[in-house]
Amino acid sequence: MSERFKIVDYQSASPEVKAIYEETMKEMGIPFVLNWFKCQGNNATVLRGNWEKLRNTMLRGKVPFVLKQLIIYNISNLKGCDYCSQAHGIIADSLGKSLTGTDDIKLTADLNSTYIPSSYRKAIEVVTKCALAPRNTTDADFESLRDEGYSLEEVQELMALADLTNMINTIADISGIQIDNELVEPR
Amino acid sequence: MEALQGIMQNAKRLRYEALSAFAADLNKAAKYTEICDALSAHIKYIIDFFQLRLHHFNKGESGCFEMSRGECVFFKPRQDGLWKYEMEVFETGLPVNYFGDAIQEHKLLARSVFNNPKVAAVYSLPVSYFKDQKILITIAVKSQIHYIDIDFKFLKSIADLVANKLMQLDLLKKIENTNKELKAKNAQITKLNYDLEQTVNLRTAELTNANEELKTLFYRTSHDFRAPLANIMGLANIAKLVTKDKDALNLFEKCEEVAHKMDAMLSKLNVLSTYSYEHQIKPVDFRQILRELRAKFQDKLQEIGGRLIFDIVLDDEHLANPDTYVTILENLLENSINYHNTNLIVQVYILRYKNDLVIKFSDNGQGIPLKIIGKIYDMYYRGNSESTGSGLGLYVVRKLVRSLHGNIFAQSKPKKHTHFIIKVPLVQPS
Repeated sequence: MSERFKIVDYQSASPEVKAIYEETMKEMGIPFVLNWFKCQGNNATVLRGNWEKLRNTMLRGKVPFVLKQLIIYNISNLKGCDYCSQAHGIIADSLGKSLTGTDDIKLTADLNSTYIPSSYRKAIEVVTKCALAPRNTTDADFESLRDEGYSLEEVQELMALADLTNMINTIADISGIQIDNELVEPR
Repeated sequence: MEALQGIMQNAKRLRYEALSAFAADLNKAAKYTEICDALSAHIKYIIDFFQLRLHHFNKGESGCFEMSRGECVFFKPRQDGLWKYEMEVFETGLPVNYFGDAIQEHKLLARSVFNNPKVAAVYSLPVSYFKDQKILITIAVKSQIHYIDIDFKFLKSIADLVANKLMQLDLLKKIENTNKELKAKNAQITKLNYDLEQTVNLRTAELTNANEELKTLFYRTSHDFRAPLANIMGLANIAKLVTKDKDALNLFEKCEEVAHKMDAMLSKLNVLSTYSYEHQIKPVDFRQILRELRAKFQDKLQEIGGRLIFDIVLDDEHLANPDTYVTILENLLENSINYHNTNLIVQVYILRYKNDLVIKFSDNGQGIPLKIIGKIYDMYYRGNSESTGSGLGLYVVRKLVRSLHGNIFAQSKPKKHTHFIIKVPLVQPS
């Protein structure tokens, strides 16, 4: 485990940090605190700001949660952020599984398949492109999202994921955190 | 192959999830704009499209949702070229599609919203529900897609959900309109009732005033008449003293007799006008009333060999105007005497039955024929041509019984007997 940032467990967290940890568990529906939050537990102000951004961009809004997870997974994977690609890939795949099946085929296996609704594919493609090379974003990117049926409000929500993913990747990479044991080996 | 099936399976799951979210939002929708919101939020995750038009027909009414680029609008469509195209598709009842140039070449589609440079193909799927309800979904896409069964199933599910919701909204609208109409009618009825009540109150007040005036006139006139009548009777008596001429004496006697009859009639009329003016409420002593009546009619009873007997079984005090009972019993007794048979026996029983005071007045006189028993209480009705009465006796009796909040019933067997049953509340309403 990284020593760059102090990893603060739930038990040793300050009341203010503990309250944020509880919010993350409650709103993300997971029974433990992710390492990504624990590595910021030594600074309640930073943690509060980043949690609010993550919460409002990833957990709220009109765009389906599973699509957001696929976008974050795809960007993180291409950027080589191990922690985020693993964590969000696991979340996306578990969502795919929880819809009905028990098979081992994962949602993340082929995001370019024509069987996936084109609104999904286009959103993943455009937001990934914008996250990886923001300066190369064109009006045509926006148009293509609109043509897929996204409203202006939804396009903004999607583009916010490019920003969010870069932020979460950055924190994960510079902190050097490893994937949570609870995610890899769910009880 | 296995991987492909897995991808298809996952894609299907994503679409079912979106369909479920659409159904949930649609379920909450209470307005057309909320249906629009649900369509624009979820349909893109279920089916690939660039433009989507959903035309709903129901009993001649038509409504249309058009969706493109994340915006959805609802409107009543005009009967334009697109309308005609949709009617043609409905006629066939089968899905149709047009690709590339075929869209521009189609005389009806060429002038519709689907003639867009980005559109590569147009698909239309008609869905019928009841005889008068159907939906046509037309989709325009940017690249030629070969829809498979599952796509049509999803489209059909979208159409079913929207059709159900529109029917529900239609029903709610009808209920709302009916409620509004009922409310308006209720308000109208309430106003009419109020007006009617006002009119009735006004008329009642007018009638009450007129009645009061009539009573006053009646009271004064009957009193005013009695004075000259007494003078006539007095003069007739004096006249008998100043002549011995038999014819003249006979005429004076006739005069006196007629004047007496008139006096009796005025007395009865007087009762009607005075009871409302001069009543005194006190305990009624029926024994005393009947004794005094017997004394008053002693001569007449003796003359015809008749008897008046009475039995009073009443422990309770009865508060009322005693004069009312005097007049009632006097009129009934007069009738018994006037229409008697031999050995007249008049029996009066007074008792309490439950909360009523009951007077049973019976005689063994001539009786009342069945065919006239319903008319005996009418004003100025005389039972037979030989009657010398005023025709007011029983009219006055019933009027007085009613003034006591009671009822009178007659039962008779001609040449045998007549019974009058009078029932009045023992405790008179204040």
